[in-house]
Amino acid sequence: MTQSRDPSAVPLVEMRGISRAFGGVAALQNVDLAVYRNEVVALLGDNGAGKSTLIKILAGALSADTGEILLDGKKVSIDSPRDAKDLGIETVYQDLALCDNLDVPTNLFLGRELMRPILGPLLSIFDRRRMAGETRDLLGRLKIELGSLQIPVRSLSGGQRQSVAIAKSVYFNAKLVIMDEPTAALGVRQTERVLGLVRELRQSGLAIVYISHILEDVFRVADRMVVLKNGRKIGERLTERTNRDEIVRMMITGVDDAAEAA
Amino acid sequence: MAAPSPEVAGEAQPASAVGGVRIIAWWIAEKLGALLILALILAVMTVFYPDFVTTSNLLTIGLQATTRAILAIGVTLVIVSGGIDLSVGTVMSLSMVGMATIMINMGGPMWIGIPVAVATGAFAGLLNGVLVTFGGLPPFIATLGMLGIAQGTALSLSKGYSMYGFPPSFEFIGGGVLFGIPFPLYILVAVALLMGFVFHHTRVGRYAYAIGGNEEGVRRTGVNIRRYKMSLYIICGALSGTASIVLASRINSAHPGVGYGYELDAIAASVIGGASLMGGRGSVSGAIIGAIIMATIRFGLNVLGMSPFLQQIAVGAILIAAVFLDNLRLKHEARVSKARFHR
Repeated sequence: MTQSRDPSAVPLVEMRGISRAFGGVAALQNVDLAVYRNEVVALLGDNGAGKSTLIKILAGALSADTGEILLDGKKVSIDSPRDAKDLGIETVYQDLALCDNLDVPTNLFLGRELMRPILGPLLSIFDRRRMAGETRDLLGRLKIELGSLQIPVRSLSGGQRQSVAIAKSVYFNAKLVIMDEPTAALGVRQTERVLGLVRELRQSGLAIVYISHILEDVFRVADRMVVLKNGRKIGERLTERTNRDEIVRMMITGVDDAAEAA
Repeated sequence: MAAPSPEVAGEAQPASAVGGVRIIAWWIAEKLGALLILALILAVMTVFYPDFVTTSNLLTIGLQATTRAILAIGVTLVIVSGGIDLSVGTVMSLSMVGMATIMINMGGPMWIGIPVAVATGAFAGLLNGVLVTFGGLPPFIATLGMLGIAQGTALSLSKGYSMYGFPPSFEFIGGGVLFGIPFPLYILVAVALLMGFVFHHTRVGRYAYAIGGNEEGVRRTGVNIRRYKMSLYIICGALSGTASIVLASRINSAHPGVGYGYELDAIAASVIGGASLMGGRGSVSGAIIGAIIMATIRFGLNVLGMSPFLQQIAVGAILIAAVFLDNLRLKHEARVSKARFHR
């Protein structure tokens, strides 16, 4: 019912039978999640449903007790955030992992600066010009408008900061981007910008896992929704074949009506 | 530094040009604040002593500022990362005593003694770094402990006595004059250029700003925070060692207690020069201007005949005032930033 996709298509990322317990508490029990290219999958559920645990496992910040992760159908092991990044899995955190006191290019390239050799191979320094140029290109491609790049991120608006955080995550050959409440702190107009950017990224071939409490945003941007409750996957729906009431019912009752009926 | 690149230089970039102007304006405002303070102090002193501003006095101030400036540059690097190093003064004493032990007690040559001073400082910095990164101690406590350890080691090594008898050639470093300018000022310029390069063009320097801005964010990007924090404390320690060479040569002896109290001047200089104890901000040029201000105040108070005891009070009060003003600035900026966020 929920799978209208070509069944032969291989998901970009597939998590199978993921379980994780903290002490005696099962945070996740046998959860599956598949994400395809050009797709925005929303992860929904009340607080404590297991969304954070699931994405932390995918991002390498936590390890699963059982279960496996496949990238393009091949089993991979993600033991650290570094591993996840190397596989093209990037995360945009809710609280903005930007340095307010630094400018946009510095933030964008933080940890992965472009260097320019001086004194031959002995000594390299930052290639500021090239980083600024690349930043302008990237922001242009993603239709992000900031004005000046050389001012500290502190002086940007919330939407602009979130856009920069997202741009930073996709710049380095990301295949899948996890977004944790990207619009939580934003006003209407800024939310609009960020949702536009999410669509832009999907258009460019990325897979996106989108976590949000704001159902209105989810319905506008997600292709598919996955509902969790108490560490279990309740069910999933294509956005076009469901409605707000059904999703809310699933989130609250933890019962998938379709599955019950079947 | 940057080679002109025709294809980029030719591009019309009105937005970034405006940004550039704004940055320069900010920079001037920040530096101007400190420079205005300096001008004010000189003006006040001129009222009391019409011939206060003379070449000879300024050179003396410059000389006294050199040691403080080298220490302040190092401590600024640590402060930028959100840390603090309280041990710069006594580590300077320890480096000095270490160097004197080699050169005076053991009759070693200068080319061994000088690197030993720098290495001693760097080693103390390494210990600070280990305590902060691997030990998880607050920098304030780790370096306060090091303040005591370095002081005690310096006193033990020298048995509490001043050490005399550096070779005559050693005197040139602190007392020599080249083209009419005291040699220590050349050392300061060299240190400033080198450290300016470190601050702006190397990962160590840029990550200090990044870590001071958002340490958790930097960690998430996969940067090895420990490695870079360690480097900061090591560089700061090495600069304490460098300062000890200049000071020992100037007074042509080593004193195990001479550095104690310099941390106050160095941190005050750093903050007056625009560094924020909350991290993320500070500069080499600011540290130097701050050090010149501290040296001018010290010199001025001496000229006015204020006792060294009261001077301590004055310097302590200046440090507190500088940090207080920095806090006001941060609060104001936080408000502005919050308003912008919801724009």
